[in-house]
Amino acid sequence: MRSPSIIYFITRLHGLYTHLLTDDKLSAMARAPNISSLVEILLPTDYGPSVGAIPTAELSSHSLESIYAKTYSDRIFFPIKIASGKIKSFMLMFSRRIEVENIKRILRAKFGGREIDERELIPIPREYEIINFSAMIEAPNVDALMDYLTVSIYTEAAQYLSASKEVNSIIPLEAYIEGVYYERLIYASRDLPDKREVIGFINLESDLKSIYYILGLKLLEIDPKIISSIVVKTRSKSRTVFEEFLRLRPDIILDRLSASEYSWLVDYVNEPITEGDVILLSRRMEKALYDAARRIKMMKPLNFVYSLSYLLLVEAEYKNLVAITQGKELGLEEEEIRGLLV
Amino acid sequence: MSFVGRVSATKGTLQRVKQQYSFIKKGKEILEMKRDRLAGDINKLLPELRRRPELEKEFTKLYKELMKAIASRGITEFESAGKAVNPMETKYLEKSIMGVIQPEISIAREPNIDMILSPVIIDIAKKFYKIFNALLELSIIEAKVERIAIELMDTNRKVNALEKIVIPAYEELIRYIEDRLMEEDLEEFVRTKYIISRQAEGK
Repeated sequence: MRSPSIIYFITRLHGLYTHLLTDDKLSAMARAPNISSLVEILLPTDYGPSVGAIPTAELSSHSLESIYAKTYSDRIFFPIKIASGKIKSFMLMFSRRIEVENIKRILRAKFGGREIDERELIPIPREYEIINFSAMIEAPNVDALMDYLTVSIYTEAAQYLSASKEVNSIIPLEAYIEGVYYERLIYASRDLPDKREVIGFINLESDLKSIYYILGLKLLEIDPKIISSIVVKTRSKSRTVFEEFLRLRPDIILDRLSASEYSWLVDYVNEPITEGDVILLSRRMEKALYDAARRIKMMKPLNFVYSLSYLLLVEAEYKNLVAITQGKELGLEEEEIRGLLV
Repeated sequence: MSFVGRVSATKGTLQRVKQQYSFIKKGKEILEMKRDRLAGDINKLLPELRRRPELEKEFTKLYKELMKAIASRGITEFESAGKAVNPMETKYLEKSIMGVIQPEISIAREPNIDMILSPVIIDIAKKFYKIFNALLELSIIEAKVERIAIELMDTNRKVNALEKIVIPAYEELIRYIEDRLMEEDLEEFVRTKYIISRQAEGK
Protein backbone atom coordinates (compact mmCIF):
# COMPACT_ATOMS: atom_id res chain seq x y z
CA MET A 1 0.00 0.00 0.00
CA ARG A 2 1.45 3.34 -1.02
CA SER A 3 1.61 6.16 1.44
CA PRO A 4 -0.92 8.95 0.85
CA SER A 5 1.90 11.48 0.56
CA ILE A 6 3.37 9.62 -2.41
CA ILE A 7 -0.02 9.24 -4.06
CA TYR A 8 -0.68 12.94 -3.49
CA PHE A 9 2.74 13.87 -4.88
CA ILE A 10 2.40 11.76 -8.04
CA THR A 11 -1.17 12.96 -8.59
CA ARG A 12 -0.05 16.58 -8.34
CA LEU A 13 2.69 15.88 -10.90
CA HIS A 14 0.09 14.37 -13.22
CA GLY A 15 -1.80 17.63 -12.88
CA LEU A 16 1.35 19.67 -13.50
CA TYR A 17 2.11 17.57 -16.57
CA THR A 18 -0.99 19.00 -18.25
CA HIS A 19 0.68 22.41 -18.09
CA LEU A 20 3.45 21.29 -20.44
CA LEU A 21 3.16 22.33 -24.06
CA THR A 22 1.67 19.73 -26.35
CA ASP A 23 3.40 18.50 -29.50
CA ASP A 24 0.76 20.37 -31.55
CA LYS A 25 1.67 23.64 -29.82
CA LEU A 26 5.38 23.06 -30.45
CA SER A 27 4.62 22.27 -34.10
CA ALA A 28 2.56 25.44 -34.41
CA MET A 29 5.46 27.41 -32.92
CA ALA A 30 7.89 25.82 -35.36
CA ARG A 31 5.55 26.90 -38.18
CA ALA A 32 5.17 30.48 -36.85
CA PRO A 33 6.51 33.00 -39.35
CA ASN A 34 8.31 35.09 -36.71
CA ILE A 35 8.96 35.58 -33.01
CA SER A 36 5.86 37.77 -32.51
CA SER A 37 3.60 35.01 -33.85
CA LEU A 38 5.44 32.55 -31.65
CA VAL A 39 4.72 34.72 -28.60
CA GLU A 40 1.02 34.79 -29.50
CA ILE A 41 0.97 30.98 -29.32
CA LEU A 42 2.62 31.16 -25.89
CA LEU A 43 0.15 33.72 -24.47
CA PRO A 44 -2.52 31.23 -23.30
CA THR A 45 0.13 29.01 -21.62
CA ASP A 46 2.10 29.25 -18.35
CA TYR A 47 4.55 31.51 -20.18
CA GLY A 48 1.75 33.96 -21.10
CA PRO A 49 2.00 36.49 -18.24
CA SER A 50 5.78 36.84 -18.61
CA VAL A 51 6.06 36.91 -22.40
CA GLY A 52 3.01 39.17 -22.63
CA ALA A 53 4.82 41.72 -20.46
CA ILE A 54 7.74 42.09 -22.87
CA PRO A 55 7.33 45.19 -25.06
CA THR A 56 7.27 44.23 -28.77
CA ALA A 57 10.45 46.21 -29.41
CA GLU A 58 12.30 44.15 -26.80
CA LEU A 59 11.17 40.75 -28.10
CA SER A 60 14.23 38.67 -28.82
CA SER A 61 15.54 35.17 -28.27
CA HIS A 62 17.57 36.56 -25.36
CA SER A 63 14.58 38.03 -23.51
CA LEU A 64 12.46 34.95 -24.23
CA GLU A 65 15.23 32.55 -23.22
CA SER A 66 15.44 34.18 -19.79
CA ILE A 67 11.66 33.71 -19.36
CA TYR A 68 11.92 30.06 -20.41
CA ALA A 69 14.78 29.62 -17.93
CA LYS A 70 12.72 31.20 -15.13
CA THR A 71 9.70 28.99 -15.87
CA TYR A 72 11.96 25.92 -16.13
CA SER A 73 13.49 26.76 -12.77
CA ASP A 74 10.07 27.38 -11.15
CA ARG A 75 8.80 24.05 -12.45
CA ILE A 76 11.87 22.16 -11.24
CA PHE A 77 11.66 23.70 -7.76
CA PHE A 78 7.87 23.55 -7.35
CA PRO A 79 7.66 19.78 -6.55
CA ILE A 80 9.88 20.43 -3.50
CA LYS A 81 7.04 22.49 -2.02
CA ILE A 82 4.51 19.69 -2.36
CA ALA A 83 6.87 16.94 -1.19
CA SER A 84 7.86 15.83 2.27
CA GLY A 85 10.45 13.63 3.94
CA LYS A 86 12.76 11.62 1.69
CA ILE A 87 10.90 12.69 -1.42
CA LYS A 88 11.58 16.32 -0.55
CA SER A 89 15.28 15.58 -0.01
CA PHE A 90 15.40 13.78 -3.36
CA MET A 91 13.62 16.63 -5.14
CA LEU A 92 15.99 19.10 -3.54
CA MET A 93 18.92 17.07 -4.82
CA PHE A 94 17.37 16.74 -8.27
CA SER A 95 16.88 20.52 -8.49
CA ARG A 96 20.61 20.98 -7.95
CA ARG A 97 21.10 20.27 -11.65
CA ILE A 98 20.32 23.96 -12.13
CA GLU A 99 23.04 24.74 -9.59
CA VAL A 100 25.41 22.50 -11.62
CA GLU A 101 24.59 24.44 -14.80
CA ASN A 102 25.18 27.77 -13.02
CA ILE A 103 28.46 26.56 -11.51
CA LYS A 104 29.61 25.50 -14.97
CA ARG A 105 28.77 28.93 -16.38
CA ILE A 106 30.69 30.73 -13.62
CA LEU A 107 33.65 28.33 -13.86
CA ARG A 108 33.90 28.85 -17.63
CA ALA A 109 33.92 32.62 -17.24
CA LYS A 110 36.47 32.61 -14.41
CA PHE A 111 38.67 30.00 -16.10
CA GLY A 112 38.80 32.22 -19.16
CA GLY A 113 39.42 35.30 -17.00
CA ARG A 114 36.12 36.93 -18.03
CA GLU A 115 33.38 38.77 -16.20
CA ILE A 116 30.00 37.18 -15.58
CA ASP A 117 26.71 38.72 -14.56
CA GLU A 118 24.04 37.20 -12.31
CA ARG A 119 21.54 37.63 -15.15
CA GLU A 120 23.51 35.04 -17.13
CA LEU A 121 22.57 32.35 -14.60
CA ILE A 122 19.38 30.32 -14.41
CA PRO A 123 17.43 31.87 -11.53
CA ILE A 124 17.26 29.79 -8.36
CA PRO A 125 14.71 30.74 -5.69
CA ARG A 126 16.58 32.30 -2.76
CA GLU A 127 15.38 29.64 -0.29
CA TYR A 128 16.98 26.87 -2.36
CA GLU A 129 20.26 28.61 -3.10
CA ILE A 130 22.85 26.46 -1.35
CA ILE A 131 25.92 27.81 -3.15
CA ASN A 132 26.75 31.48 -2.79
CA PHE A 133 26.55 32.45 -6.45
CA SER A 134 26.83 36.20 -5.80
CA ALA A 135 30.16 35.63 -4.04
CA MET A 136 31.32 33.27 -6.77
CA ILE A 137 30.57 35.92 -9.39
CA GLU A 138 32.60 38.44 -7.41
CA ALA A 139 35.55 36.04 -6.98
CA PRO A 140 38.70 37.47 -8.57
CA ASN A 141 39.77 34.21 -10.22
CA VAL A 142 38.95 30.55 -10.63
CA ASP A 143 41.13 29.52 -7.66
CA ALA A 144 39.12 31.75 -5.34
CA LEU A 145 35.95 29.97 -6.50
CA MET A 146 37.14 26.73 -4.98
CA ASP A 147 36.50 28.04 -1.46
CA TYR A 148 32.79 28.24 -2.27
CA LEU A 149 32.65 24.82 -3.96
CA THR A 150 34.71 22.73 -1.56
CA VAL A 151 32.50 23.68 1.41
CA SER A 152 29.56 22.23 -0.50
CA ILE A 153 29.21 18.73 -2.00
CA TYR A 154 32.02 19.38 -4.48
CA THR A 155 34.75 18.72 -1.95
CA GLU A 156 37.39 17.63 -4.46
CA ALA A 157 36.82 20.53 -6.85
CA ALA A 158 40.27 22.01 -6.16
CA GLN A 159 42.00 18.77 -7.22
CA TYR A 160 40.02 18.67 -10.44
CA LEU A 161 40.85 22.30 -11.06
CA SER A 162 44.53 21.34 -10.96
CA ALA A 163 43.80 18.54 -13.44
CA SER A 164 41.98 21.06 -15.63
CA LYS A 165 44.88 23.47 -15.51
CA GLU A 166 47.25 20.66 -16.42
CA VAL A 167 45.40 19.86 -19.65
CA ASN A 168 44.36 23.50 -20.19
CA SER A 169 40.72 22.48 -20.44
CA ILE A 170 37.87 22.87 -18.02
CA ILE A 171 36.40 19.52 -19.09
CA PRO A 172 37.82 17.50 -16.12
CA LEU A 173 36.34 19.99 -13.62
CA GLU A 174 32.97 20.19 -15.38
CA ALA A 175 32.83 16.38 -15.61
CA TYR A 176 33.62 16.16 -11.89
CA ILE A 177 30.83 18.60 -10.95
CA GLU A 178 28.33 16.63 -13.06
CA GLY A 179 29.66 13.34 -11.67
CA VAL A 180 29.18 14.48 -8.07
CA TYR A 181 25.64 15.56 -8.89
CA TYR A 182 24.65 12.13 -10.23
CA GLU A 183 26.45 10.37 -7.40
CA ARG A 184 24.53 12.42 -4.81
CA LEU A 185 21.26 12.03 -6.68
CA ILE A 186 21.62 8.25 -6.60
CA TYR A 187 22.47 8.47 -2.91
CA ALA A 188 19.38 10.61 -2.27
CA SER A 189 17.19 8.02 -3.97
CA ARG A 190 18.32 5.09 -1.84
CA ASP A 191 15.28 5.18 0.45
CA LEU A 192 12.70 6.24 -2.11
CA PRO A 193 9.74 4.15 -3.11
CA ASP A 194 10.40 2.36 -6.43
CA LYS A 195 14.09 3.11 -5.92
CA ARG A 196 15.16 0.43 -8.42
CA GLU A 197 13.39 2.21 -11.27
CA VAL A 198 14.49 5.64 -10.05
CA ILE A 199 18.16 4.67 -9.77
CA GLY A 200 17.93 2.88 -13.10
CA PHE A 201 16.63 6.04 -14.73
CA ILE A 202 19.23 8.30 -13.11
CA ASN A 203 21.94 5.89 -14.28
CA LEU A 204 20.43 5.94 -17.74
CA GLU A 205 20.66 9.74 -17.88
CA SER A 206 24.20 9.77 -16.52
CA ASP A 207 25.31 6.98 -18.89
CA LEU A 208 23.74 8.65 -21.93
CA LYS A 209 25.63 11.83 -21.07
CA SER A 210 28.89 9.90 -20.73
CA ILE A 211 28.30 8.09 -24.04
CA TYR A 212 27.50 11.40 -25.74
CA TYR A 213 30.61 13.09 -24.39
CA ILE A 214 32.83 10.15 -25.33
CA LEU A 215 31.35 9.78 -28.82
CA GLY A 216 31.24 13.53 -29.48
CA LEU A 217 34.76 14.22 -28.24
CA LYS A 218 36.06 11.11 -30.05
CA LEU A 219 34.52 12.37 -33.29
CA LEU A 220 36.37 15.64 -32.71
CA GLU A 221 39.63 13.82 -31.96
CA ILE A 222 40.07 15.53 -28.61
CA ASP A 223 43.05 14.52 -26.47
CA PRO A 224 42.22 11.06 -24.97
CA LYS A 225 43.59 12.26 -21.62
CA ILE A 226 40.82 14.89 -21.49
CA ILE A 227 38.13 12.42 -22.61
CA SER A 228 39.17 9.92 -19.96
CA SER A 229 38.39 12.50 -17.25
CA ILE A 230 34.71 12.09 -18.13
CA VAL A 231 34.46 8.53 -16.86
CA VAL A 232 36.47 9.18 -13.71
CA LYS A 233 33.47 9.99 -11.51
CA THR A 234 30.96 7.62 -13.03
CA ARG A 235 29.82 4.77 -10.80
CA SER A 236 27.87 3.23 -13.62
CA LYS A 237 27.99 -0.53 -14.06
CA SER A 238 28.87 0.27 -17.68
CA ARG A 239 32.05 2.00 -16.57
CA THR A 240 34.29 -0.73 -17.99
CA VAL A 241 32.43 -0.45 -21.30
CA PHE A 242 33.02 3.31 -21.31
CA GLU A 243 36.69 2.80 -20.55
CA GLU A 244 36.83 0.45 -23.50
CA PHE A 245 35.11 3.12 -25.66
CA LEU A 246 37.98 5.49 -24.87
CA ARG A 247 40.33 3.25 -26.81
CA LEU A 248 38.04 2.68 -29.80
CA ARG A 249 37.18 4.59 -32.97
CA PRO A 250 33.60 6.02 -33.07
CA ASP A 251 32.45 3.51 -35.73
CA ILE A 252 33.80 0.63 -33.66
CA ILE A 253 32.18 2.10 -30.54
CA LEU A 254 28.93 1.76 -32.46
CA ASP A 255 29.52 -1.99 -32.90
CA ARG A 256 30.46 -2.34 -29.26
CA LEU A 257 27.37 -0.33 -28.26
CA SER A 258 25.11 -2.72 -30.17
CA ALA A 259 26.47 -5.56 -28.05
CA SER A 260 25.89 -3.68 -24.77
CA GLU A 261 22.77 -3.00 -22.71
CA TYR A 262 22.42 0.21 -24.75
CA SER A 263 21.93 -1.59 -28.08
CA TRP A 264 18.63 0.32 -28.51
CA LEU A 265 20.68 3.52 -28.69
CA VAL A 266 22.30 2.50 -31.97
CA ASP A 267 19.18 3.54 -33.93
CA TYR A 268 19.52 7.04 -32.48
CA VAL A 269 23.27 7.51 -33.03
CA ASN A 270 23.99 5.48 -36.15
CA GLU A 271 23.27 8.32 -38.61
CA PRO A 272 25.16 11.10 -36.76
CA ILE A 273 28.18 8.85 -36.15
CA THR A 274 28.31 7.73 -39.78
CA GLU A 275 28.01 11.33 -40.99
CA GLY A 276 30.23 12.76 -38.25
CA ASP A 277 27.44 15.23 -37.36
CA VAL A 278 27.98 16.32 -33.75
CA ILE A 279 24.91 18.60 -33.60
CA LEU A 280 22.69 15.73 -34.70
CA LEU A 281 24.44 13.43 -32.24
CA SER A 282 23.71 15.81 -29.36
CA ARG A 283 20.03 16.12 -30.28
CA ARG A 284 19.65 12.36 -30.86
CA MET A 285 21.19 11.54 -27.48
CA GLU A 286 18.86 14.02 -25.77
CA LYS A 287 15.95 12.63 -27.74
CA ALA A 288 16.89 9.10 -26.62
CA LEU A 289 16.72 10.24 -22.99
CA TYR A 290 13.47 12.17 -23.33
CA ASP A 291 11.88 9.35 -25.34
CA ALA A 292 12.74 7.05 -22.44
CA ALA A 293 11.06 9.59 -20.11
CA ARG A 294 7.96 9.60 -22.37
CA ARG A 295 7.86 5.80 -22.29
CA ILE A 296 8.00 5.84 -18.50
CA LYS A 297 5.22 8.42 -18.39
CA MET A 298 3.01 6.11 -20.45
CA MET A 299 3.98 2.81 -18.86
CA LYS A 300 4.54 3.66 -15.20
CA PRO A 301 2.12 6.47 -14.36
CA LEU A 302 1.80 5.46 -10.72
CA ASN A 303 5.44 4.60 -10.10
CA PHE A 304 7.61 7.18 -8.35
CA VAL A 305 9.89 7.23 -11.39
CA TYR A 306 7.03 9.14 -13.06
CA SER A 307 8.24 12.22 -11.14
CA LEU A 308 11.63 11.96 -12.85
CA SER A 309 9.93 11.54 -16.18
CA TYR A 310 7.88 14.71 -15.56
CA LEU A 311 10.94 16.72 -14.52
CA LEU A 312 12.95 15.58 -17.53
CA LEU A 313 10.08 16.47 -19.84
CA VAL A 314 10.04 19.94 -18.25
CA GLU A 315 13.70 20.14 -19.25
CA ALA A 316 12.90 18.87 -22.76
CA GLU A 317 10.27 21.61 -23.14
CA TYR A 318 12.81 24.24 -22.07
CA LYS A 319 15.30 22.97 -24.64
CA ASN A 320 12.65 22.76 -27.36
CA LEU A 321 11.47 26.31 -26.70
CA VAL A 322 15.05 27.58 -26.85
CA ALA A 323 15.60 25.72 -30.14
CA ILE A 324 12.39 27.04 -31.70
CA THR A 325 12.95 30.64 -30.59
CA GLN A 326 16.60 30.71 -31.62
CA GLY A 327 15.72 28.97 -34.87
CA LYS A 328 13.07 31.58 -35.63
CA GLU A 329 15.36 34.47 -34.81
CA LEU A 330 18.14 33.02 -36.96
CA GLY A 331 15.74 32.35 -39.84
CA LEU A 332 15.95 28.53 -39.88
CA GLU A 333 13.38 26.65 -41.95
CA GLU A 334 10.49 24.89 -40.23
CA GLU A 335 11.94 21.48 -41.12
CA GLU A 336 15.35 22.39 -39.71
CA ILE A 337 13.71 23.53 -36.44
CA ARG A 338 11.67 20.33 -36.27
CA GLY A 339 14.90 18.38 -36.66
CA LEU A 340 16.23 20.06 -33.53
CA LEU A 341 13.27 19.20 -31.30
CA VAL A 342 13.90 16.54 -28.67
CA MET B 1 62.00 64.41 -74.22
CA SER B 2 65.11 65.80 -75.79
CA PHE B 3 68.27 67.22 -74.29
CA VAL B 4 69.57 68.24 -77.69
CA GLY B 5 70.58 71.88 -77.75
CA ARG B 6 70.43 72.08 -73.98
CA VAL B 7 73.95 70.84 -73.42
CA SER B 8 77.26 71.98 -74.71
CA ALA B 9 78.81 69.48 -77.11
CA THR B 10 82.18 68.86 -75.54
CA LYS B 11 84.19 65.73 -75.03
CA GLY B 12 83.75 66.11 -71.28
CA THR B 13 79.98 66.31 -71.69
CA LEU B 14 80.04 63.26 -73.97
CA GLN B 15 81.97 61.28 -71.41
CA ARG B 16 79.58 62.33 -68.64
CA VAL B 17 76.49 61.61 -70.77
CA LYS B 18 77.88 58.21 -71.75
CA GLN B 19 78.46 57.40 -68.09
CA GLN B 20 74.91 58.44 -67.30
CA TYR B 21 73.62 56.43 -70.26
CA SER B 22 75.41 53.31 -69.11
CA PHE B 23 74.11 53.85 -65.55
CA ILE B 24 70.56 54.30 -66.81
CA LYS B 25 70.81 51.14 -68.94
CA LYS B 26 72.01 49.17 -65.94
CA GLY B 27 69.18 50.68 -63.89
CA LYS B 28 66.72 49.67 -66.57
CA GLU B 29 68.07 46.12 -66.54
CA ILE B 30 67.71 45.95 -62.77
CA LEU B 31 64.20 47.35 -62.96
CA GLU B 32 63.37 44.80 -65.66
CA MET B 33 64.64 42.06 -63.41
CA LYS B 34 62.55 43.45 -60.56
CA ARG B 35 59.51 43.65 -62.85
CA ASP B 36 59.98 40.03 -63.94
CA ARG B 37 60.41 38.90 -60.36
CA LEU B 38 57.29 40.81 -59.22
CA ALA B 39 55.31 39.40 -62.14
CA GLY B 40 56.58 35.93 -61.21
CA ASP B 41 55.53 36.48 -57.59
CA ILE B 42 52.05 37.56 -58.65
CA ASN B 43 51.74 34.58 -60.98
CA LYS B 44 52.72 32.31 -58.13
CA LEU B 45 50.14 33.87 -55.78
CA LEU B 46 47.26 34.13 -58.26
CA PRO B 47 46.10 30.48 -57.94
CA GLU B 48 45.76 31.06 -54.19
CA LEU B 49 43.33 33.91 -54.84
CA ARG B 50 41.04 31.55 -56.71
CA ARG B 51 40.32 29.88 -53.35
CA ARG B 52 38.18 32.82 -52.19
CA PRO B 53 34.85 31.79 -53.79
CA GLU B 54 35.37 28.26 -52.49
CA LEU B 55 36.16 29.54 -48.99
CA GLU B 56 33.22 31.93 -49.04
CA LYS B 57 30.93 29.07 -50.03
CA GLU B 58 32.33 26.96 -47.21
CA PHE B 59 31.94 29.87 -44.78
CA THR B 60 28.28 30.36 -45.75
CA LYS B 61 27.65 26.63 -45.26
CA LEU B 62 29.37 26.76 -41.89
CA TYR B 63 27.39 29.83 -40.87
CA LYS B 64 24.21 27.85 -41.51
CA GLU B 65 25.61 25.07 -39.34
CA LEU B 66 26.44 27.62 -36.64
CA MET B 67 22.84 28.83 -36.67
CA LYS B 68 21.66 25.26 -36.17
CA ALA B 69 24.19 24.75 -33.38
CA ILE B 70 23.08 27.95 -31.61
CA ALA B 71 19.44 26.92 -31.98
CA SER B 72 20.23 23.49 -30.57
CA ARG B 73 22.20 24.66 -27.51
CA GLY B 74 20.83 28.18 -27.00
CA ILE B 75 22.69 31.47 -27.20
CA THR B 76 23.33 31.48 -23.43
CA GLU B 77 25.31 28.24 -23.58
CA PHE B 78 27.31 29.55 -26.52
CA GLU B 79 28.09 32.78 -24.68
CA SER B 80 29.02 30.85 -21.57
CA ALA B 81 31.31 28.52 -23.55
CA GLY B 82 32.89 31.47 -25.30
CA LYS B 83 33.96 32.91 -21.97
CA ALA B 84 36.10 29.87 -21.18
CA VAL B 85 38.11 30.21 -24.35
CA ASN B 86 41.15 32.45 -24.47
CA PRO B 87 40.83 34.70 -27.49
CA MET B 88 43.41 34.15 -30.20
CA GLU B 89 46.20 36.67 -30.49
CA THR B 90 47.88 37.69 -33.70
CA LYS B 91 51.18 39.37 -34.46
CA TYR B 92 51.48 41.82 -37.33
CA LEU B 93 54.82 42.18 -39.08
CA GLU B 94 55.88 43.98 -42.22
CA LYS B 95 58.54 42.58 -44.51
CA SER B 96 60.19 44.60 -47.23
CA ILE B 97 61.00 42.52 -50.30
CA MET B 98 62.57 44.55 -53.13
CA GLY B 99 61.06 47.66 -51.63
CA VAL B 100 57.58 46.19 -51.46
CA ILE B 101 56.20 46.26 -47.94
CA GLN B 102 54.41 42.96 -47.44
CA PRO B 103 52.20 42.24 -44.44
CA GLU B 104 52.76 39.09 -42.40
CA ILE B 105 50.23 38.07 -39.76
CA SER B 106 51.12 35.17 -37.54
CA ILE B 107 49.07 33.60 -34.75
CA ALA B 108 50.81 34.40 -31.48
CA ARG B 109 48.35 32.45 -29.33
CA GLU B 110 45.86 29.84 -30.49
CA PRO B 111 42.44 29.83 -28.81
CA ASN B 112 42.05 26.81 -26.54
CA ILE B 113 38.92 25.45 -28.18
CA ASP B 114 39.02 22.04 -26.50
CA MET B 115 37.99 23.78 -23.32
CA ILE B 116 34.43 22.97 -22.49
CA LEU B 117 32.27 19.95 -22.00
CA SER B 118 30.12 20.56 -25.08
CA PRO B 119 31.09 18.63 -28.22
CA VAL B 120 28.66 20.70 -30.33
CA ILE B 121 30.37 23.96 -29.43
CA ILE B 122 33.88 22.49 -29.74
CA ASP B 123 32.96 21.11 -33.16
CA ILE B 124 31.60 24.37 -34.56
CA ALA B 125 34.40 26.41 -32.97
CA LYS B 126 37.05 24.13 -34.50
CA LYS B 127 35.45 24.36 -37.92
CA PHE B 128 35.22 28.15 -37.68
CA TYR B 129 38.79 28.45 -36.48
CA LYS B 130 39.98 26.36 -39.44
CA ILE B 131 38.13 28.48 -41.97
CA PHE B 132 39.15 31.66 -40.16
CA ASN B 133 42.78 30.62 -40.52
CA ALA B 134 42.28 29.91 -44.22
CA LEU B 135 40.61 33.32 -44.67
CA LEU B 136 43.40 35.01 -42.74
CA GLU B 137 46.00 33.36 -44.98
CA LEU B 138 44.02 34.36 -48.04
CA SER B 139 43.68 37.99 -46.95
CA ILE B 140 47.44 38.17 -46.34
CA ILE B 141 47.98 36.87 -49.88
CA GLU B 142 45.42 39.36 -51.23
CA ALA B 143 47.19 42.20 -49.46
CA LYS B 144 50.55 40.98 -50.84
CA VAL B 145 49.18 40.70 -54.38
CA GLU B 146 47.67 44.18 -54.12
CA ARG B 147 50.94 45.72 -52.97
CA ILE B 148 53.04 43.76 -55.48
CA ALA B 149 50.63 44.77 -58.25
CA ILE B 150 50.97 48.46 -57.34
CA GLU B 151 54.76 48.09 -57.25
CA LEU B 152 54.69 46.18 -60.55
CA MET B 153 52.68 48.96 -62.20
CA ASP B 154 55.11 51.52 -60.85
CA THR B 155 58.18 49.53 -61.96
CA ASN B 156 56.67 48.88 -65.36
CA ARG B 157 56.04 52.60 -65.79
CA LYS B 158 59.66 53.34 -64.87
CA VAL B 159 60.99 50.68 -67.26
CA ASN B 160 58.78 51.98 -70.04
CA ALA B 161 59.85 55.55 -69.37
CA LEU B 162 63.49 54.53 -69.47
CA GLU B 163 63.05 52.31 -72.52
CA LYS B 164 60.83 54.59 -74.56
CA ILE B 165 61.86 58.06 -73.49
CA VAL B 166 65.00 58.44 -71.38
CA ILE B 167 67.28 55.95 -73.17
CA PRO B 168 66.33 57.11 -76.71
CA ALA B 169 66.81 60.71 -75.56
CA TYR B 170 70.26 59.88 -74.23
CA GLU B 171 71.10 57.96 -77.41
CA GLU B 172 69.99 60.95 -79.43
CA LEU B 173 72.03 63.24 -77.23
CA ILE B 174 75.12 61.06 -77.52
CA ARG B 175 74.67 60.86 -81.25
CA TYR B 176 74.23 64.63 -81.40
CA ILE B 177 77.32 65.33 -79.29
CA GLU B 178 79.37 62.80 -81.25
CA ASP B 179 78.20 64.35 -84.54
CA ARG B 180 78.99 67.82 -83.26
CA LEU B 181 82.40 66.70 -82.02
CA MET B 182 83.09 64.97 -85.35
CA GLU B 183 82.07 68.13 -87.20
CA GLU B 184 84.27 70.18 -84.90
CA ASP B 185 87.13 67.71 -85.42
CA LEU B 186 86.63 67.94 -89.17
CA GLU B 187 86.51 71.72 -89.03
CA GLU B 188 89.63 71.70 -86.91
CA PHE B 189 91.34 69.33 -89.31
CA VAL B 190 90.40 71.47 -92.31
CA ARG B 191 91.45 74.56 -90.45
CA THR B 192 94.80 73.01 -89.51
CA LYS B 193 95.31 71.77 -93.05
CA TYR B 194 94.53 75.23 -94.36
CA ILE B 195 96.95 76.90 -91.96
CA ILE B 196 99.69 74.38 -92.79
CA SER B 197 99.16 74.95 -96.55
CA ARG B 198 99.22 78.74 -96.06
CA GLN B 199 102.38 78.52 -94.04
CA ALA B 200 103.96 76.34 -96.76
CA GLU B 201 102.95 78.86 -99.41
CA GLY B 202 104.47 81.73 -97.33
CA LYS B 203 107.81 80.05 -97.16
